Amino acid sequence: MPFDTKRINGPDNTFSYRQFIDADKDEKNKKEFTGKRNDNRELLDHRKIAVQLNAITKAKGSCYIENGNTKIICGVFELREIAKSSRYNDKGQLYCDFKYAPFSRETRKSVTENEEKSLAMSIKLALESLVCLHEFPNYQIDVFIMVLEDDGAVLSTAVMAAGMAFVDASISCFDIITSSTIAFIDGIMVVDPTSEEEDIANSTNPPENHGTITISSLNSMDQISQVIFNGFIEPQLLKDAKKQLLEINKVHEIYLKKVVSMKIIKEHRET
Amino acid sequence: MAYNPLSEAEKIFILHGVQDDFRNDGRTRNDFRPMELQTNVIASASGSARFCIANSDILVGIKPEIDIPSPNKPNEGKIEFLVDCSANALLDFEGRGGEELASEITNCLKLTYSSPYAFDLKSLCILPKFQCWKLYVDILILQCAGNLYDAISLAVKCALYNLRIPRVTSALLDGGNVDLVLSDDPSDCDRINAESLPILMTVCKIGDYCIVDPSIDEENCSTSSAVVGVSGNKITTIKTISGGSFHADTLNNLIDLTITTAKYLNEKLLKSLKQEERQMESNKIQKCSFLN
Repeated sequence: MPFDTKRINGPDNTFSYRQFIDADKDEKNKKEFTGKRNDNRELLDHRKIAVQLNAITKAKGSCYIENGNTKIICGVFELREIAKSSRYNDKGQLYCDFKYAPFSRETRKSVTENEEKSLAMSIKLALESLVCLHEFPNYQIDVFIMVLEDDGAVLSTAVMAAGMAFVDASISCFDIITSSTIAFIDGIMVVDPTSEEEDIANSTNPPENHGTITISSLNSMDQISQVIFNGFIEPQLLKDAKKQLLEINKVHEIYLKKVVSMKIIKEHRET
Repeated sequence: MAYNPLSEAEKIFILHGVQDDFRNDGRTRNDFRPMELQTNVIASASGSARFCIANSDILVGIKPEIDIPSPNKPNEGKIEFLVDCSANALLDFEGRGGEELASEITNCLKLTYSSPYAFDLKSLCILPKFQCWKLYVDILILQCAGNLYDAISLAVKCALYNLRIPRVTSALLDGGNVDLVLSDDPSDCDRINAESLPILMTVCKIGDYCIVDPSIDEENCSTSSAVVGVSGNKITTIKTISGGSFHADTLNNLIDLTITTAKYLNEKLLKSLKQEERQMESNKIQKCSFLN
């Protein structure tokens, strides 16, 4: 990213004060994780989701989503024709931009640009099987996603936000995309982990069978459009997690469908 | 991945081949193409390997350098992967064309090597909080004939097997400055246990079946594909790498297929690495040029 030299960017080598308290805190966290979660949820409980469509008035379609403390805003903009200089595509193209707000996590700017790009790519791949791209030959659709606050399960929340933004933009889709995350700590499934739980699952001294898995699915056709797993785990546990995730996604779908039908009713009344 | 136009008839031919378990180059669905490996190919790198799967040709060089551990991981070393897709390999990589693929592969490698059970970064620490080794793993794609993920991960594993880190004989803390003494003997060095290092496997779904080691043509025919990282009999990563979707049950098949294939491949790889090392020591291999 180009640096704005006129602006004060702060010193180059500062570090978070949190590392001085972490040693104590880390221990506490590990001891605490005995099956009980900080927010009094059961292990297999999902946090509450809130979706608001048309959150950005300038965009063709937009969506603001909250999953517990994770807050994401997403906008889909007008279709653009791809410049003649590049190769003709008989399918539409998606461009996905994914950014963390600098203040979205415990430590400022703790996510590198590379990680953001990789997440953007994953979201793009998940959306490619959602949107009817054959209806927009040689056109590009831009999706912009901004994480306002990160409290775990960012990828799955972002995928749902983007999916709903497409619905809000009235761009034809095959289905409603739903997505959820499970973290494994010592082989125990923790549904919809908070960032603290994610940190335990991927810490430097994780217990065996650890990791996080995110599955995005299109439920009416039983299709999985994206899987991302990272960790170290026995295959059987993954298969169990897949089953669980698909169940959760079905619950999400009921709510998202309700949001869509509310939108339609509202628009119908206005006309 | 690579632009290679296929007609509908050609695609159907490949699809039928996969259905009959007889692919267009004579392989069955879970066969790999012939592989070639060679370690210690670059004298200026501490560990290097060249790995080919058919015409996918990968060259890896590793250089260890001394760095300061990051403050939140004081007793861990570092590893960094850098993939370079040169335009020699595929014309699509020209200019900035290969950048996206390169960063995808880099990220995938980084994820697979992130678990301490797959690769132990603690062994790279010299003096906690002050000094550690940082391994720069530079990956060059010389030729591309599909299945880059597998070829690259195998090449990296071979290079890490070949890696020799100079032994630190003493590390002293002198008033905030670190005094490192490295061994004078160049053959006195530390090695990495390569047995549990993960390998990546690309699985393509063509028609109703999953195949391993897709060629470029098969990559073009597939509706969806995923990369699975396997270490021993555990899974380290799963990542879908193309825009298609697949049925929920396919995920189970995909996991089973990779676990069995990767286990076999890993055994064979370690065996041939050891064999190759013995041959190198007894100077049995006669080389007429660098690439041959």
